[in-house]
Amino acid sequence: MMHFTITDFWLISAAFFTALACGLPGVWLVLRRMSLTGDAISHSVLPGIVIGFLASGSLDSPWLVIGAAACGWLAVMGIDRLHYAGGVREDAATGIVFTTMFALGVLMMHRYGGRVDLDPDCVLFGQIDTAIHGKRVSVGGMEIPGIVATSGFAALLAAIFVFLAHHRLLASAFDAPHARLLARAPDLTRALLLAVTAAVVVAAFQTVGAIMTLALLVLPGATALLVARRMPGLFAAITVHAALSAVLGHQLAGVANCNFGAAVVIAGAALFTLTAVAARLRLRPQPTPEERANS
Amino acid sequence: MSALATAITAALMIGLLCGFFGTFVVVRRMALTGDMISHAVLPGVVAGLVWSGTRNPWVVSACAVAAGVAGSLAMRAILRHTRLKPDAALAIVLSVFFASGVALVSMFQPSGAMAFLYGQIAALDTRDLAFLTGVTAVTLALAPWMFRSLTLVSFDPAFARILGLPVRAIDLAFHAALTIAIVVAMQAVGVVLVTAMLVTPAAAARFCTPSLGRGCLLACGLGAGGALAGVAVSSLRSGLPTGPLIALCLAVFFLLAAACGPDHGWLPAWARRIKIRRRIESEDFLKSLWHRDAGHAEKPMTPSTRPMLQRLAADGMIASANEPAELTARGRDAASGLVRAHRLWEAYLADVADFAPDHVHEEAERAEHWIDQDRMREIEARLGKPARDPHGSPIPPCPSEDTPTNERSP
Repeated sequence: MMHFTITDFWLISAAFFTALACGLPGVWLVLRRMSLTGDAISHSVLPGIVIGFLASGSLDSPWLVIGAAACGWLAVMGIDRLHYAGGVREDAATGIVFTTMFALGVLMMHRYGGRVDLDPDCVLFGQIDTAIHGKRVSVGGMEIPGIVATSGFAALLAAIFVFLAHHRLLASAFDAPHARLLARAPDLTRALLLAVTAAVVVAAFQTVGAIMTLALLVLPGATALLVARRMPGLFAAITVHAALSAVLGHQLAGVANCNFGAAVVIAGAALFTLTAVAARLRLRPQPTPEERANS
Repeated sequence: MSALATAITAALMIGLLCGFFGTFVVVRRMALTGDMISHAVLPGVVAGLVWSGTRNPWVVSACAVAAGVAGSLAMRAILRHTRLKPDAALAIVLSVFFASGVALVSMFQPSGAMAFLYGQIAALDTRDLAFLTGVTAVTLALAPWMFRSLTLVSFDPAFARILGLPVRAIDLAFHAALTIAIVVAMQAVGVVLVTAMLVTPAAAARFCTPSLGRGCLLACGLGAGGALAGVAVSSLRSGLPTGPLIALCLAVFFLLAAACGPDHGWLPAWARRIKIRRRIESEDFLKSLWHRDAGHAEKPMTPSTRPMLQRLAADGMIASANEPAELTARGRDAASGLVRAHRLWEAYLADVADFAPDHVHEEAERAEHWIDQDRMREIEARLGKPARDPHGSPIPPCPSEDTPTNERSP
């Protein structure tokens, strides 16, 4: 095994922050059975990212997040309109909207991306290996790669969101009518969740690309849901999953000499599989007698 | 064969193929399963490319189908052994299989992998084209045979089983054939936009016809047309990618079909709603003229508009389009038919459906526009030719038989 350098540390941190940033809103998508809306958003933000990039000329600009959130919102609205007002089935509406937005994004990238360093490979593969050597920013007197700062900021944003909106999310995910009675507007909650998803997707885009972003959205939450039975445990499990996938993914990428983002996803999937097998073999804590009596 | 000719032939074939399979994908609500398959086949495609070394389409397709089956099995395992819902299982399989494919691509860098990821319709060689032609020809030759059993299995598997159809085998064959179609189409439009090829033409066809057979033909036509249009636009200028242009052309077709589709397109549906509203407003106006002539001063006049008066005058319901309107004999018959429908329905609700007499008026206000002559006769016979409605007003007799107003389908 090669030496563990500071670059490895930054790679692992970026992967961990990205996985955490996606996993925190992602678990709510899983709980609300909206994982595929997450997929639709991760593809639909592309035109917004390209426009934001062309407008600002940099991949770390807040314009990317604004453009992406706008496009994510447009996609979700489009799917809703096609489904409820247009009479198209929801799955077909999702398929039509996200492919159209994605096609628009790729076309714009080809048409205008020639003079800038935004290329289609980044969409499918992510570009963390090159981005880690990119521009550096100074945070608290320390020089850290821009991508680590971006993903760390996204993770912070996601953590603040799920912390502040916890009761709102809980009520609207499990009992929307009750949430409405409590004046915790479930529609607003849904919109907020989707906006935060669009924002973290922008950060994940550079790390793992559009499609594998979906894995980071779903895998930590899905794994945590296999083991956790209380909300704090759920978020602890998500953090552990994100950290382990980052470390193991880094190892795997080193051993197999493959794409870093893909390695992180494969490591996360392996953790998911192990957890599922362990949960199946009842290696998790057994319910207490009174819980069993209640069930 | 020039690159453009290759592209045109391939676009035509792939459009037909995807139109056919897409029809069933849409009616079976499998749009996102199709998306999952297109991503899940990637490791198989890459493995096939690495293994065969020469981009042999048979090897690649076989490996891709194997990977697609593995994806479906993985999804089934997740659903069976965990409490995760289908959307999460689908998302996990889709993204993890794709990640494995990306890892394989980055490890072995096989030539030709980029064609599957991004779609390069002009880069297809004669062997790919022969394979594509073979797949399309076999599908379209078998289509008339498969159509009936596929329809049955898609809409009512239980009934299909009772008929003795091998439902599971048909499902498996459909999945395998769909996977091959997806692998073939991926080379034209890329991994993400295959879903557009499958779903968009078929969903557009649903706006144009309620029949599955005609919808299928139309989807094939739209698919081929969209693919050709995409190729045409991309050939206008170098550097324009074909795949996204095909997807965007299909999206334009979809919007056109959704807007103008005769079956339940938005504009025809809107026109129908307007027509119905106009009819109801005119009928309410005729009725209020009737009440005015009968001296029921307590009933307010329904407001009229100039176009409404002109339409009624043209139909011969009122004497002229000028205020104050005067009913013709024909208009009086039509209006009394409406009053008759109203009062009969009130009597029916009060006597048979046991409504309180003060609750029937609002219901009858709606029903009077929808009850036709036959239904009125039926109600009248059932109530034993009542003379008065629950409020004591007389029910007008049946107007002369040739009055057209209430002869309409509900």
